[in-house]
Amino acid sequence: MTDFATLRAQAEEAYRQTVEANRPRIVVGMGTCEIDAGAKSVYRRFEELIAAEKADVSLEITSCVGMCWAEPLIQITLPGGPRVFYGGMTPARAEEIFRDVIRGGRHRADLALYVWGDQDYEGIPALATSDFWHGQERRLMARFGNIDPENIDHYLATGGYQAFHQALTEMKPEDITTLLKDAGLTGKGGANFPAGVKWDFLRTAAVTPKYAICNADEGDAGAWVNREVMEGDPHLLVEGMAIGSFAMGAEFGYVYIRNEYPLAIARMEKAIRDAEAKGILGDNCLGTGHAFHLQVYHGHGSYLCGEETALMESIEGRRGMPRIKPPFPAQAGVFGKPSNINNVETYANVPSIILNGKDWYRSLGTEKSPGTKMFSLSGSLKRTCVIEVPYGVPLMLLVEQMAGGLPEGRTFKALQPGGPLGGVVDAATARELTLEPPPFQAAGVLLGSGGFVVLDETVCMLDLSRFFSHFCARESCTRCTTCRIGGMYSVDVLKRIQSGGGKPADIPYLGDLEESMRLDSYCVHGKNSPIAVATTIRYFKEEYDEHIYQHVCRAGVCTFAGAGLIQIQPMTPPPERMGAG
Amino acid sequence: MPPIKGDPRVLTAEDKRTIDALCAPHPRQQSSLFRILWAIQGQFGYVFPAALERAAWYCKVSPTRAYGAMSFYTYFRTKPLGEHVVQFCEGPACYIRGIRRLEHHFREKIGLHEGVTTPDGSVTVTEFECHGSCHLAPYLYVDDEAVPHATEADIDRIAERLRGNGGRPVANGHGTPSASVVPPSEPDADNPAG
Repeated sequence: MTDFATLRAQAEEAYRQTVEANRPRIVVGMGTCEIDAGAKSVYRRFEELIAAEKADVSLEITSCVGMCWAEPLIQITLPGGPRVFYGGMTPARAEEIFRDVIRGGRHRADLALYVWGDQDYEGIPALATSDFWHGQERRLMARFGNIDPENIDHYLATGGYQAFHQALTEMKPEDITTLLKDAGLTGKGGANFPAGVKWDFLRTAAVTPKYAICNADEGDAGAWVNREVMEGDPHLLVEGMAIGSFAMGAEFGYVYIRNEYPLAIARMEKAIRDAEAKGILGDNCLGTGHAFHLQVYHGHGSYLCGEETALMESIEGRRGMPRIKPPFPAQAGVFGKPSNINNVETYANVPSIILNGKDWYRSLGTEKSPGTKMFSLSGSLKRTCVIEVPYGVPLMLLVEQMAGGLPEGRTFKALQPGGPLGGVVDAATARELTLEPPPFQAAGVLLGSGGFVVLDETVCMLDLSRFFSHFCARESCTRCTTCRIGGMYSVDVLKRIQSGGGKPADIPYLGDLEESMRLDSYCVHGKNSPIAVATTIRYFKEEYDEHIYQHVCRAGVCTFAGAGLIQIQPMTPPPERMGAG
Repeated sequence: MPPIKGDPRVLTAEDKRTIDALCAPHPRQQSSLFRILWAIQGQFGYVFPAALERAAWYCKVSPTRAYGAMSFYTYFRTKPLGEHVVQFCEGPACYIRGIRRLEHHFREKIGLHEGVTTPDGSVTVTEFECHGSCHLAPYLYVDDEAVPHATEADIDRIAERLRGNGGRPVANGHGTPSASVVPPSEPDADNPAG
């Protein structure tokens, strides 16, 4: 067993040889989103070109930098020069760039996107001063695009596992939880429960073994920030969980990753194997006697398993149905043993808090929500992207500056935050929102796990709420009657309105459904699944009225083609038939 | 993947040996069930009744309980996939760009009006959950190949290629999510734009 200083010195040496080698470097981004966009064919083309010429060029991979709109993205460094980003790569463009930049030795300002740093270079704009980057504070994303996520040496050489080493050697478990409480680290998965308090519950539990679990079942459609962390910097999550295991006295850990993220699963598994091989995880973490066994558990396709107790049921080999609390997970979690569940981002924030202290963490964000949060922006935008900003910044900074606003000729109609359970707000309300939980709660929506979908005038709000209602109804575990049936009823009523059979009593009926689902469902899924319908009625009431009374759909989506589509009669049929129905 | 010979409700001696070998690395407890089912699905392409029964016996749970647990999740298949798998994204970014219309169009083209697999077993049409390639919306997978910014012309081309069964799609992905067995949610004939 080598000690930590030796381990790091070796890694630094290996890393330096890659980075400082006196030869051109081509770094191809390889996240799920980039591979979908064609990064593998670009990589293969470069490989062929290098092999054909026996060129002395280093070809490496990294992960998504958040610039999803420009993918596949590559970075080229010529000896002694800065890193230059080229976007929208194709095999043909790879050839062009290889010819002009690698062989020719000069960057192509007409093709280049950005140059790393805050200085323009040969007519290429600097990344740090660009609209996309300016205003971001990258803490979790600090290594994204700068290291090879599959290489543990890169992580160690950039300060990785230092916090874990420090925690093991210099701190007591209660120091760590106190530090997290003082720093004000809250759960990033949407519940915002203080992480230090949660860790204390488990630390003080008497039963052993204890389990530290990471909830990486990022089921919210339109949010992919957790995937970015696991693909871009998997060791960061491993380290966060390892510190957690020490603070909580947990000997075993699970990372529950949804099956839709095969690359994240592969990278996490590799990260854990590498860390075990280096003696960082295992029976004797870094030679200190602390034991932590971490393993990846991949999901089987259920949105509901993002709920903590459903996730535990799933690990135990049962249907993913939420448990009745109490007992809480800290008393009896997975396999009946004390367990703690946190989101990916929550764990990933821990190493930097250990290293930099509570004041550093609190230096960004707001009093109640300190720190930063990652967000993914998609929908009707010029730049689909992933960014990290401090809590409390205006939402419009993200939409209009970083994502570049909507495409020409489109108007901002509504914003859909926080996945299927998040709700919808109209443009006027969205313009006033700042990124922290309270304003979102006041607007009747949820900040959730960090996905924003921007909607333009071509989206019909009834159609959208039907889409979300259908999603929620399908993913219901069916224990509570309200959730099982309520969702389908909402879908039926909306379908009927869309096909021209709307009745004036439908809107109060949808309101009643919302109320009974919210009050009588047991878990957050049932409580929040009618939120899409409730918020669209709240913000787009006139659109519902137009559909019901005038058979007009502003977006031109609904056909009003016949009213004979009702399959299930509602429990209490709307009392009267008015208008053209 | 070898096809199951004969009745899927009866376990042949050979399949029994295979399944027992797949079970062996796992402890005999309920939490091993899903790992074993994944292994079975990887080996045979889907989980057939006799295999489920054997796995349930190994994990010391009743077959009905095991089936109940398995059927909760969309990734376990009880029927084999078609030769080609076409998967449409289910996320909101693709939805607002009309992915359901494309799916409907594709189903019309290959003549698959209900169910997930064509009667001749050549094409399976399913949906997959959003995994955050929203800059490519609307997009779909044909086997392992992503088709970004799909249009009706793309769909026509894919349908033509798969129906003719010529030009096998290249497998270049990182291992796409395997298709779910959930039948398509809504026929959506009443909703041409979304």
